[in-house]
Amino acid sequence: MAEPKSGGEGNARFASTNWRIITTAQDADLPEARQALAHLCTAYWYPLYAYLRRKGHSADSAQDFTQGFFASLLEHDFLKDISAEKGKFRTFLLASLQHYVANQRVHDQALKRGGGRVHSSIDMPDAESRYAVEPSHTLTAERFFERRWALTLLERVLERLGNEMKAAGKGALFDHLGQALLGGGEAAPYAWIGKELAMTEGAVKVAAHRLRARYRDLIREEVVQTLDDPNAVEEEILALFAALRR
Amino acid sequence: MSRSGTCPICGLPLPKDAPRSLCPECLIQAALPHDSVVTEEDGDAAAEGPQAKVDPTLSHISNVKDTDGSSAWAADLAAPAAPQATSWGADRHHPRPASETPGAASLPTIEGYEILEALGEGGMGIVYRAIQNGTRRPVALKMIQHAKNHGLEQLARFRIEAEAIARLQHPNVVQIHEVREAGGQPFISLELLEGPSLAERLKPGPLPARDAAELLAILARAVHAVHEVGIVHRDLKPANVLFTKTGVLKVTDFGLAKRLDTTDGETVTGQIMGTPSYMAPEQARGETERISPATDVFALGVILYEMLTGHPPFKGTSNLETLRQINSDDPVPPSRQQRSVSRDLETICLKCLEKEPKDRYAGAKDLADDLDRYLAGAPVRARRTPVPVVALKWVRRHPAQAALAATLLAMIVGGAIWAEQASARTRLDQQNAAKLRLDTIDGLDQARRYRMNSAWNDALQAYTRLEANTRGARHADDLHRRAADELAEVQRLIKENADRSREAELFQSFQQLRNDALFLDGSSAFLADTVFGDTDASDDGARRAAPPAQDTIERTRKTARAALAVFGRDRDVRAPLPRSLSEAQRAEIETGCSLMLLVLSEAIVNPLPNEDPKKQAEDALRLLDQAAQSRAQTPALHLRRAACLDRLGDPGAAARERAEAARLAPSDEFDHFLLGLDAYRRREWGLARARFDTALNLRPDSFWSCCLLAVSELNSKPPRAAEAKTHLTACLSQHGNLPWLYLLRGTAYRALGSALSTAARTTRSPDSLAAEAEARFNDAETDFRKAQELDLEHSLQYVLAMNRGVLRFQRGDWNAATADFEEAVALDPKQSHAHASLAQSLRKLGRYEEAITELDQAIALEPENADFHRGRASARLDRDPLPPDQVEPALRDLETAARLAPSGARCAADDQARAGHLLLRLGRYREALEAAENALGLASNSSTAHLVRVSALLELERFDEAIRASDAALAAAPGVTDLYRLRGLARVARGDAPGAIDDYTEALSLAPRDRAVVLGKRGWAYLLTHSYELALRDFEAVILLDSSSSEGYAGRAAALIRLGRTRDALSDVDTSLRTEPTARMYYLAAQTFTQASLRAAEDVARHGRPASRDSLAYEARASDLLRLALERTPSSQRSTFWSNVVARDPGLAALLRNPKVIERLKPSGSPNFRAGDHP
Repeated sequence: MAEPKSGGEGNARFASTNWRIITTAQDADLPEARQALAHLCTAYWYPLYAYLRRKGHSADSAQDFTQGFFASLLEHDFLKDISAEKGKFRTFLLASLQHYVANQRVHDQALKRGGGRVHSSIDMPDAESRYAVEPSHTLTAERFFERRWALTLLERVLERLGNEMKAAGKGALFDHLGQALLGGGEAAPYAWIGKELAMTEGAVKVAAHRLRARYRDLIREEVVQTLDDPNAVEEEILALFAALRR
Repeated sequence: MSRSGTCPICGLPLPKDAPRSLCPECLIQAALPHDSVVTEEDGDAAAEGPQAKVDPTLSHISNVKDTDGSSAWAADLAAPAAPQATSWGADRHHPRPASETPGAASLPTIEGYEILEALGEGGMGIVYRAIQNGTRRPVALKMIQHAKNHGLEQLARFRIEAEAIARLQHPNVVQIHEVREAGGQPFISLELLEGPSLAERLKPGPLPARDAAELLAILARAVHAVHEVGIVHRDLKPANVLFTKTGVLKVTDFGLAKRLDTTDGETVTGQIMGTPSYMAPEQARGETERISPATDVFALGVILYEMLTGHPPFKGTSNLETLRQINSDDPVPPSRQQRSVSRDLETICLKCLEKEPKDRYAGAKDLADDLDRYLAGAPVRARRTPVPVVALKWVRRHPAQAALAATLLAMIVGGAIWAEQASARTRLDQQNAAKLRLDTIDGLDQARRYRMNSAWNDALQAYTRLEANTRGARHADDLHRRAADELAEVQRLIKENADRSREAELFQSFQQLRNDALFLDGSSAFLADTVFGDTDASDDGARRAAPPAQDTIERTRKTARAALAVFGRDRDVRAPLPRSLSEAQRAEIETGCSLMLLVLSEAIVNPLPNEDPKKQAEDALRLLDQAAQSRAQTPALHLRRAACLDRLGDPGAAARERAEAARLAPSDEFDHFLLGLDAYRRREWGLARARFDTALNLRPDSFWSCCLLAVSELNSKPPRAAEAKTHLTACLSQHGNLPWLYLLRGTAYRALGSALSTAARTTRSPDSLAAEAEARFNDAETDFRKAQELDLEHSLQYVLAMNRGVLRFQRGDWNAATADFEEAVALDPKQSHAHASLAQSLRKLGRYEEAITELDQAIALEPENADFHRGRASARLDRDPLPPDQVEPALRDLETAARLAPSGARCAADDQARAGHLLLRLGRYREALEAAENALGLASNSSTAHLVRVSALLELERFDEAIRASDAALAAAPGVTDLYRLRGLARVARGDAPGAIDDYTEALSLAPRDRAVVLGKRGWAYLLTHSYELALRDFEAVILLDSSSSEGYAGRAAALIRLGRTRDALSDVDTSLRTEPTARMYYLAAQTFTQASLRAAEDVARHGRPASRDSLAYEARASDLLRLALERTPSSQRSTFWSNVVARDPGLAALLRNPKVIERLKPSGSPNFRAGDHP
């Protein structure tokens, strides 16, 4: 499971979270801050898009707003407005977007893009197809956003976990052990998996245990990137859990 | 990873967007910190750890063994209430040493729970920390080990009470989640609590009076709730009052365990020693039959006292002393110890501590209410006891002291007293009563199990029997009451369940009927347009907007009415809806009913054959009025009204309605949907798309918007198959079991495939596109197969067969297509399109006769369809050679097709032009000319018609007209090589060989397919202008292009003979006659030999006899050849050929002057040929 490598990397990431770099930067033009912001925007643009769609914007307009919003975020002196929403990137992002959309409506001006700044590459054509599977019924747009945020985070973590396992030559094991991440004795037929992969049941159990531990680490690593205060990780995980409850 | 739609951990349905098909909720829960869990009840985040507290109910319980025979049983069972003293006194066994607490190595497995660790061991069994699988909540699991050692009644009673508390669900009472057995071992699962106990809270000292009053009020209400389910706590004390992490108070330990606690001496002694301060006097005296809610009120008073003063009112140096105080001493008023305690609060406290239960508060609720009054500053109800009464009481109390000692002895030593008393009764009585109680308790237990498993009939029967058996029985009043109460409860639940399930069924059947009606309403578009849109693609894909079929209209009406009738909305549009339905369900019914009224009005306004259209329109208007009552005005409603008013012949009113519709803005998703539906019905696909799209934006899970949007996309021109596919996939994710969705998506895939294969034909690198097209076609096949597997209804089986046929037709698999269309014909022989499509695939297979038969049937079913007539003509004309008897029918078909085609339609012109072409081939030039001119009247740029006209004029030898017609044609359709050729011919005929050469040169510059033919024509024209060298060059070019061209050799021969190269020329003539020469070849050969004969005759002067001999021989050969030419000419045309061609040919004039030649021609020719025929 490549523990040594990822462990070291994980600690490094913990030391300075992306959102912390951004919130503590004095100078908006600090390249690291800008880079960190771009990194976060690329990762979490979709929940914003889904939010706008849920608010009733057409696909085109939601795409324009999202793209434009990030462009303006990266172009302008965004740090000015941060102090009020400091804390969680998630909260900051949603508040800023709401502000941005309101302004856009008033001014109705063409969006300026580009200008040699750092750009986040956003996979727009994919957006509509993802949105099409959203279960939206009764959620408000804000809850929808939170739910989508939590899902995006989970997707990113699972992807990283899967990549790590693949890199360690344990892709098949990961595919079989997905359910084991959820915990639950019944749901993980270790003996059967062992037979499938020519491993002993004990070895599978150990692998499942390690996988769960690594998964918990990764979740925390991912969450902490979006927080100002690394100590608020558990709280944020609980908030994500609340967002996902049905 | 999980294929099924539910999470195996929490059992909830997996959301569509679950990452890697893993339940997101469980995923994040797995990441939650180990010691924090969110509880189900109040959403508190409660920390659970090794030090977590367990409800002490069970933690101090000892083993029970009862092997001492039936007499002890009988005594127990005869007692109506649990004899606490008895059980305490049963001094038999030693508790299990704590060191035996099992480690994690031997955790048991309990179905439905994940056991994490052992928390500790109580007398009765081990307590585990566990997670309940479904809810993922942390619980404490208490296993009742050695159950077989407990008395049956004790176990049963334990269960009865535990289940009563389990049902209670009070925020301040510890929650018992479940009481059941696993592998014969009873266990209870209960809320895991972690907070401090009230005892711990009191350690630092007394609480402020108000805080104490507030806490006790909460506690008293919780105790009251427990009393209400028929249970007296009996052991209330600060140690049994726990707090959650968030400070919520919980009453625990209902003395339940004591039911099982037959105890050993030490434990019991310990218990009594530990807690007698909280006992009421009746408890202290062991008068168990006097235990009542007032006993708990006393304990509440003690707790209040302790909260106010820091210690309980009675606390001696020994337990015996404490018990004595309880029984005989008056408590020291709290205010003497704590000045801050107000008089009212003290009064309340002392009222609880009255020795006589009747003098205390009648119930815990009264106590709580009085505390509330105190807290609100209102006068309390409790009154101080007057001094004389106190004294009297004291006096009365003292004689009891002797009895007290005996009681204490009994409590400590065992059940002897009870046994003594019991011995006074007759053994038989005891045994009968005991048996009844035992049976009843077992029966109640069983009945309750039935009830929990929702086996309602069994539960009802069991309770009825139990209630009857215990009626009037001795010592079983309590059980009878319980049986009667539970019977009534079960009866009520059965009725409720029946109501609820009937209403749920009604709702489902409403949804079903509404969906069916919408499907029927929309299906005319599925059936007529989507499916047949390009069936006849090989001819032309004219789309038809067929009105819905009669039976579809009837079914739509029936279904929509049935949907409305489900909730009585057919009679009253505002009929109330059942209350058991959720708000969302009711909203769905409301919009659904409005929709049904609109659908019904649409179905009604389409009159059936025996109906009066006006009356139908009036009925429809009435329905719309009803719809307007149940729902605010919507633009769609006005549009429907306008349509009805049009039918009623009131255009003014209709226009007003349309204006109103335009004025009203659609207010919500449903409005947009209705407008979409309106546009959909009118086949305005673009508008329908926009409306459904908006509706879908507002409510992305709106199934029908999504579905009808897809159908609109499929019907758009050009079809938006990719979008339709996406939307249908979304629909399928909601209703994966609707076969027609697969059918539609299959159609979308097919359309994608055919678009790609069309693109593949026109691109430079077709391979990847063709592969893509194949993939889409395969997707279509997969969807069609899926639709078939899902049990399609009959009419849809037909649609499927047709669609798959079209798919295979487009893939060029004519055999499979034919099989599909044959299936379609078999499924619904009344569908003209099935026959027509079958004919198309039969034509491809060369089975023309069968194709014609199918088209006959199609035409019989739908005589007015131009396509069918045109197709039948094609089927007749496809054959080669063309059977003569098919000519007239084919012509008639084409005429009918032209007549039926919509006025001004291009296809009518094409039909005329095709007829003209056929007539031309048949030599019926006049008719051909007429047809061509008709065609040009319809479409002046039809190149076929132009060619037919010019050709016919040429054949009719109206050369000047042919030239003019060619000029006109070239003006209308420049660049048609055939037109230059035809004008060239006409010019040659008019003697304008140079003009003809220009035409042919022009034609050649356009790189015609038949370059050799055009070169040949120009060669002949050069010969006419005596440009023999140029002619020779053209003919040589012809031979170069086609070495077997007889025309080329014949032409070169003609050029060579004129250039004096007789030998070469005659060799070419021989070559030109090598293979099956035509009349023309013989004729041309005859010309060349005639020229050769003339050349030889000219040479006679120079060469003498040989030349003369040659000349004669050539002449003879020429006449033979001419005879052969005449023989090859059809007899009907022979005389025309003779008089118009042969007799007029200046090249042959010399030959025909010779009577001998004429003579030679005679034997073979017709008697018409006479020498005098030529000028």
